[in-house]
Amino acid sequence: MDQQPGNDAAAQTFFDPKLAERLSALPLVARRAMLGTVSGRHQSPHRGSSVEFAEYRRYQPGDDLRRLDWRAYGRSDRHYVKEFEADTNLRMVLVVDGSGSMGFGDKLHAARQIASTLAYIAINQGDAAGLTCSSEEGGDLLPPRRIAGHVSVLFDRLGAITASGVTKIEQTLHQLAETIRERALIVVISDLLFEPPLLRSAAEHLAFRKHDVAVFHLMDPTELQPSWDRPVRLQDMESDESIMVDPDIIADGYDVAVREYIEEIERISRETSVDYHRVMLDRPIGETLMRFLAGRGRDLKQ
Amino acid sequence: MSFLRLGALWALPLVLLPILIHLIHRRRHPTIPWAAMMFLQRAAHARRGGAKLRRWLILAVRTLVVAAILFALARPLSSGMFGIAASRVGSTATTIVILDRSPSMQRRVANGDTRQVAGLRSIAGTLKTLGADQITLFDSAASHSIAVGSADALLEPIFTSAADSSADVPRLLHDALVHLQSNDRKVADVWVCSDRRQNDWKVDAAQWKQISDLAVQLGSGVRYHLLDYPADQQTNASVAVTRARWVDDGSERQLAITINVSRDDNSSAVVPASVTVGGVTSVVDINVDQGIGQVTDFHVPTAPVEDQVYGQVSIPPDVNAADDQWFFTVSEDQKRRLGLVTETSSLALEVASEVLGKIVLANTEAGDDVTDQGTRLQVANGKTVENPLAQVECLIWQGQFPKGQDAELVNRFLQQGGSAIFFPPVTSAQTIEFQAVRWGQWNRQENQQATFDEWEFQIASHCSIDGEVVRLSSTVNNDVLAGKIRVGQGTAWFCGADVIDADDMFVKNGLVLYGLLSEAIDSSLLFDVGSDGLVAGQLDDGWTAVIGDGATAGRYLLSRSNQNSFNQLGHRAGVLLVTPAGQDQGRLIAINRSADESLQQQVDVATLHALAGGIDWNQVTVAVDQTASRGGFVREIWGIIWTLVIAGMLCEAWLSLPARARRTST
Repeated sequence: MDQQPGNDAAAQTFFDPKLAERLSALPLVARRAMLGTVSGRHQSPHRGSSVEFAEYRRYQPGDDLRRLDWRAYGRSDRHYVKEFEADTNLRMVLVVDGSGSMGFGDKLHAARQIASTLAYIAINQGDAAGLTCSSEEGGDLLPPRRIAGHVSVLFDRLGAITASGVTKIEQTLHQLAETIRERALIVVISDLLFEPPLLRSAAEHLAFRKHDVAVFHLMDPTELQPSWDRPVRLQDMESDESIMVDPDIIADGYDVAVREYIEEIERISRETSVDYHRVMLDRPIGETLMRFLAGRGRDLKQ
Repeated sequence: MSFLRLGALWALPLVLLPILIHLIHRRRHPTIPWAAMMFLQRAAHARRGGAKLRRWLILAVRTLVVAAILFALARPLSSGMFGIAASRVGSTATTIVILDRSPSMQRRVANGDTRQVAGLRSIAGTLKTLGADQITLFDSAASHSIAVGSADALLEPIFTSAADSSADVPRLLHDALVHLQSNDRKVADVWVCSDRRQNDWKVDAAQWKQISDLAVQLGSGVRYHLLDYPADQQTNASVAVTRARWVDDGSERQLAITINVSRDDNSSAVVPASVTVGGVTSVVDINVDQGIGQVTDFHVPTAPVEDQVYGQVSIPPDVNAADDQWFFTVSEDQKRRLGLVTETSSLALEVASEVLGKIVLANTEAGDDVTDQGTRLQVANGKTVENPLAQVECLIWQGQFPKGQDAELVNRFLQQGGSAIFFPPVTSAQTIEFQAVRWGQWNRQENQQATFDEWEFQIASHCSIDGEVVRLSSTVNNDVLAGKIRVGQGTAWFCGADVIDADDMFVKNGLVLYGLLSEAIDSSLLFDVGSDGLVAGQLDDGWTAVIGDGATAGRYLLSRSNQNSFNQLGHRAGVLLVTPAGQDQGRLIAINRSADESLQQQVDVATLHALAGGIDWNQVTVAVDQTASRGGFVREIWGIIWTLVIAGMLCEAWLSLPARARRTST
């Protein structure tokens, strides 16, 4: 099913069809069993009619006699039903951070790129993709759908996201965990500029609901290595707060703070089974997405 | 601290400049939108304390540097205790210098200058630094004030040379304040260059009350600076001739001189005294113990035909050369000056006084009324005199013991080295005492044998002496007939014999009376250097009387060697030859310092406050050591300020270095 994104100008700025086509060669798979509504390429917790053998089970009245394994009956003189893995489709919900800090550099653009590409790949392979924006205004959830026209709707929604206000992403994730009943792939695209323990709380909540959580951590290189060469006044993009910064004074402490922060985010991701990917904005997005898709396929085979 | 250019301090608000620049600079920093504030907050939290402190330090250093620059431009003065009053001197204030040129001010300080020179140098340096140009000098050896053109002029020899006269500081201070008042000077600085000797400050002078009133009237615009000389451990000796007389043993007439030497310390020492008469110098060693030494009647041979001789006694120069010489003249008719005060006329005492000396103060037959009022001495010689005992060497007193003002006068007279001999009244009042001695009962019942030295004699009556005295004469019944006690430097003699009754055996015999009187007179340390001697500076009391109104200018035959620049007649010790108008032959006058100049007692500031409550003295210590600056009490310290500015700027630069560079530099 080849789906083309909408033709509006916004979609043209962040969606790269060539990249999407190239990445389509790699399937977007869930690391956990999904509960889809239709048959698909993803593992389901239920037994189904796929070619993948699952197990034998004693026949019980009411079972479809067509699934009775006569060879097993001949060998053991007992009636067994042969069960196969069920394949189902994937529900993917893209959570894009719309806080003010996402306006720094190309973060929001990168987030749109990732979200649009993944949405395209998912819908293109018959899975459902939804979108929600985490912002102060509290964006509505665009429910996951698998129809081709949903791509345009989703892209429009992506194009309408603006970076403003304080980050509410942990609230959005908690809200999603309570809202989405079926197992889904939750893809968080954010700069994660909030206290790491909040991420742990949200990730554990989603894992408890059997959701597969992936995080794209957007980082601008200038945030890691600020280029100030003189005292500057830094204005917080999420509030009115400003801080006078003398690079000579702050440099060492800043490096330590960044290092500790990243280590903590990575540790939380590991401990909560979050598929964590750091996205450096000076690197091509395709590279990150390639690593993401390939990694998930590898995890599934293992 | 005070400032020569006070106006520059108006620029002091400029110290706010760094703070303003700091605030502007804060505004001037580019504002950059930033997302990762949490990293900054974490980093800032870790380094907030040190960074803030450094910022404040830099701001403080910059502010201080600006302040220091302004201070330097204001030409600050290091003033110590001199106080901020100094800042006024250079501008509009009148400066008055009161100069004590008395012999005690000639004591040398550690750097070799005399106290007078050291004090003047310090004052001159201060006034020069401050740019004072309206200087009026009140000199203890001058009769009027002197307008001094510049501070440097204070160091001219005419002012730095010594006088031998005592200073009358209350008079000088009074004259200075009157001068300020009459010239309507409300802002002035009065410098008193004196070592605060009691003899010069005259705490009992009546002028202190007027001084206090004048100071109050002049107000706080007049500041009083009093020099303070640090105590030194050097020993000073002084010499004085207490008596010079002719001694004729029948074959040869010689000059007999009694010399006193006193030293500051109590250790024993031998002081060689050189006696020069007629170009011939004799040396006599004087043993000084407990600070006092004396040689009595040191015989000096003189030419037999001379009626009038003069000479000097000197001891080796020491820390104060002004009291190492004493000049004397001896004339043919020299007699000791006596005061005779009798309650009842006593022919015996009058005759004896005339024989043994010259009565210069007399008050006979004063009666009980005057005695009771305690004013017998004041009304002596038929007139009221302020200091009746000034010219007296020995006082002969008959009657009730002196009381009231009389007692005070006699007591002070004895303290200064005079001698007084007391005879009993006809009727004794046992309640009146003097120096804890009272007259007792008369014993007129029987003749008694008595002794005095090796003499034995009969007395018909005597009055007992109650009190502790050194017994000189006693009766066979062991009653004290005569005794003496020490009072200060002088001696009080007491004789209980009846000197009123001309038929009394004691009077008739006369030998003991004359012997006793002679001893009493000889014991007086007060010696007016013969009949022609004067105390330097006390011209009002005796100058005219001695040389007459029409005397031509005198000529010094002898004087202290290095005092040629100081020509104030009467204020310079020496032997002066004065020729009165109409006479061919001149008269010799010995002029010496006051014997009280050797007294060490100083007037403390507390006493000065009590004397003149309207004056708030600012004590200024004179730097006397070798290394001390001779620039006065104040110095411009802009050099120090500039050094501080440079140090502050270096400090600021170091603090402003980037942290990494600073760590490397350390």
